Amino acid sequence: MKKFLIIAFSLIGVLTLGFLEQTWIDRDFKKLESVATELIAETEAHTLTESKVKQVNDWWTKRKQLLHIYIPHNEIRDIDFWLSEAQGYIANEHYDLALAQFSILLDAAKTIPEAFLFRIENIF
Amino acid sequence: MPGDVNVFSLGAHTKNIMLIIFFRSIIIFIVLLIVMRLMGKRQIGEMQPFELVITLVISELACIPMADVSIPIMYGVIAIFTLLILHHVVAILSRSSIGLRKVICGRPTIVITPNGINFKELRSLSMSVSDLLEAMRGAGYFSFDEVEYGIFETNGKFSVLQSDGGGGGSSGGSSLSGDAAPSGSPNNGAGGSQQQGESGQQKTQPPPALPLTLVEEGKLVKSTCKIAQVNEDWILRQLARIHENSVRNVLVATLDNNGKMFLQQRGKKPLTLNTQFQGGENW
Repeated sequence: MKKFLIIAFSLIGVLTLGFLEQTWIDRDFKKLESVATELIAETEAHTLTESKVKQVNDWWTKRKQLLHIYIPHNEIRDIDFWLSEAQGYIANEHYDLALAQFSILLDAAKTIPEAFLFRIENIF
Repeated sequence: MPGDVNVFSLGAHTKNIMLIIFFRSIIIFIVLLIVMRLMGKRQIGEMQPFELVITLVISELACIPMADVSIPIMYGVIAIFTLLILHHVVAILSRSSIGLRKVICGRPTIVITPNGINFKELRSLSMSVSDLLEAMRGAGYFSFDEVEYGIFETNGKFSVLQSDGGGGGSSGGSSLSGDAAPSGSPNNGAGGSQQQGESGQQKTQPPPALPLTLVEEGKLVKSTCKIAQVNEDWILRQLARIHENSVRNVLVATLDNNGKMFLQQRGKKPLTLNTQFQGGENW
């Protein structure tokens, strides 16, 4: 009986964490994707301001705390770098350079969650 | 941002990788301790194969997130708990069915019977006579004739059912005294006194003796023959006493310091020969 309880509680724990992981990663990276799309559009239109990028940066700083539980910290740090770099480019009105950073950010926002999806190719 | 509280920060100025590793190690240690306690009380050496596998894997899983701060600690914790689940599932399965238990844990292997060493089973364990002797010594038995039954348990331990003689010869085998060593043999220099010694040994307990393997699966073990200072001719002379003319037909032959030889021929029961060997002080 004790063994069954241990198995049951461990399984519930693992499945709950798995569910939360999927939910949090999906939610945060979908948001990041839409933000990155928006930033790209505004960069192309040369209407993006530094304060807007800073807002996104602040939002990401808050969100990444939970993501640290699930995602390798290096990948989160990469997003930090791209956002900070882009903020600097926008501050100096280097829209073309900022656009490159936002494109990478958009790509990461799409590919990182894919690596965490429960799929056969990710198991192997 | 003012008002934002970083719930995962230990303090505004806590940016110390060593402290991070310190706390990660504590967390992993506690998780491991809990998991090992939940797994049971078996010690290393008493483990079933699947338990050993889990123990080997778990140590690696614990080390990686402990030392590499770029990996979320949850990766290690989840993997360790998965192993806990697997451990209990396999334990339950192996308890619920004898067939499954055989598949998962294996079966005890009887390698020594009153009919001698079971070489087929020994080979199935990828073991040699030397390995068997080593396991026997670990169990406190130094000679084949002390053992009636020898069993390798599923956890790798060697269990022994001692023979009635307790060193005086297997109940299944036979014993032959005397030596027909002709002149020129390495150990025939003191024939008369040896005979006397042997007759004395029949009444008194022989001194403790350590057997050396001279022949193993039909092949002469030259290194031990050198230690015992016996050659193939001497061994063949002993074999001639039991009407055996080739070493190749001998599965195992050991010789102890007292000159007692344990022999097992192919397809025959083991027997012990008392020889006039006098080189027992060489090892």
